[in-house]
Amino acid sequence: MTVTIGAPTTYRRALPRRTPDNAGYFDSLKAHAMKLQKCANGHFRFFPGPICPRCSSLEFEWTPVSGKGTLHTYSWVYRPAPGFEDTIPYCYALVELDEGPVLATNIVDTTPEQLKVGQRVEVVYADVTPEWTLAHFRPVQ
Amino acid sequence: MARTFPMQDKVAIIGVGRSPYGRDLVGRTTPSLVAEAARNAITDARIPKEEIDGICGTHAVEFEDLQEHLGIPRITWTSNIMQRYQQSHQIIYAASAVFAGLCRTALVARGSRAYAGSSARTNPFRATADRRGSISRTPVETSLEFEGWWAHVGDAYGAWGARYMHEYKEPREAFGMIAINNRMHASKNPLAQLRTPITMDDYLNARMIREPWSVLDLDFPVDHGDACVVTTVEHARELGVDDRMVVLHAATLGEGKSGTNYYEQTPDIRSLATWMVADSLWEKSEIKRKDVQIFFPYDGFTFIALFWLLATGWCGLGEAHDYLKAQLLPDGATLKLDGRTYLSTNGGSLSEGASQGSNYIYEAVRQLRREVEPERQVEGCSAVLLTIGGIFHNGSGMILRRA
Repeated sequence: MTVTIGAPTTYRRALPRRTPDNAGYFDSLKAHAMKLQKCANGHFRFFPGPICPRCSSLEFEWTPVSGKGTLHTYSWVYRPAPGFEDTIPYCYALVELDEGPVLATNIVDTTPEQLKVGQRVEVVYADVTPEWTLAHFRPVQ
Repeated sequence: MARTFPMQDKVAIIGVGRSPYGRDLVGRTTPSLVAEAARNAITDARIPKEEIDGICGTHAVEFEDLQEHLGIPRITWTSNIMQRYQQSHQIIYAASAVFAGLCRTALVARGSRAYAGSSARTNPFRATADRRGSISRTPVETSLEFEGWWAHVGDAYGAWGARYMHEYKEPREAFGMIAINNRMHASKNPLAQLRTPITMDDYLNARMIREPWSVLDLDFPVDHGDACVVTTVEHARELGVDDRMVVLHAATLGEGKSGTNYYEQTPDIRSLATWMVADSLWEKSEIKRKDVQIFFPYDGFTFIALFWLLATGWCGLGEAHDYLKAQLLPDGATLKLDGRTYLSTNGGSLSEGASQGSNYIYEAVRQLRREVEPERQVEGCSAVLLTIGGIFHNGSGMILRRA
């Protein structure tokens, strides 16, 4: 599903910096079909990088992932970071994907009362500007 | 027992100095604060400035700036640390340089005018600190790697704190006991910024910032400059300043697998930098926990200090609240660990003022030299433990002792 946050021209939050190492990831978000690097020996990794931290393989393919995972931990933020002033509180979270890697993200479509560590979550593609789509997560309904 | 750390007891801190600390030191620049601290450290060491032949600065005030400002004619060792790294790193780099003979007497200095161009009056508590993000990287809104940005606005610490509380069933009161202890010490420290004692009710009712951290879990940013002079024990004797030197018994740096920009991949709590430092430090030290009279665990957040306490082995994961309750002195605020060891006798970053742990070094040296105010002086202070740095990155540890 797609969520558009604010008008594109007013998006003030930090944006990634595209590099040859991470472009495959952000391109996949733009296409609303998350892919992560999977090395020649089958290890997924995140954040995108040039070498497999487990086996040092330089070979990899951008490989589709389920977009489903488990809420490892989270923090409701009441004093916003720059650009987050319009959503207080917001939920910062670490999500462990079923494929293994952990993503830092925001949980959306939830409340402090509903959220629990260990909860199942799924990716939500947020088209935050014409150029950028980010991966947010929400509780699996 | 065979020594596993060749540098043990070979290097000394012979001078410490600092600038005034203040919430918003209008009219001061970062170089002016750092230069004042450096001048004071050299004066404290009782050496002529020409004796300095090595300098470690930061990316904010580099060694070239310090050399020029201070008029030091000749240096043979130079280094600059990242601004977000600590004075403990500078001291350990300088120690390795004087021990190796790259220079004889090194000056290390750092500081920050965190509020340059703004005012605490117009930027309420924490707003500026959040906006500032990482002071080593500007502007925070555009140039940071996406993941690193999260870490530096502090949300990651909240999330990891929540994970610790979930996994080990530790209540928030455990963190509160650190805040209360530090504030009680600060109330007696004329150099401290926040001097009104707090209670557990104050702590539990404080304004929430990043759950589970309220405003009383977070350090108190100040403008500051800090410096030290480091040389070998042997050269301190040649200079005739060994009567006031403080000896570096053991030291280590430490990083876990997933530092700064990759912290979200940290596999578990035991793989954080805090544990890397603690394990390495105890291996290098013949002085043990029972031998130190003061423990200075870096307290950028209460949570960081508590993790240093866990990592250095005072109690087990999930046992901190019960353990700390049993260490309380009759005032109901001050902690004395195992009946022997005080915690953060200056008030730390939480209450004396946040200077990336530099204030711990200043306090440690002066406690060991037994020259703090009589009512604050820890009796028989002969060895102290310092663990400085965040949990994800820039970890360091030192054991200092009287000469």
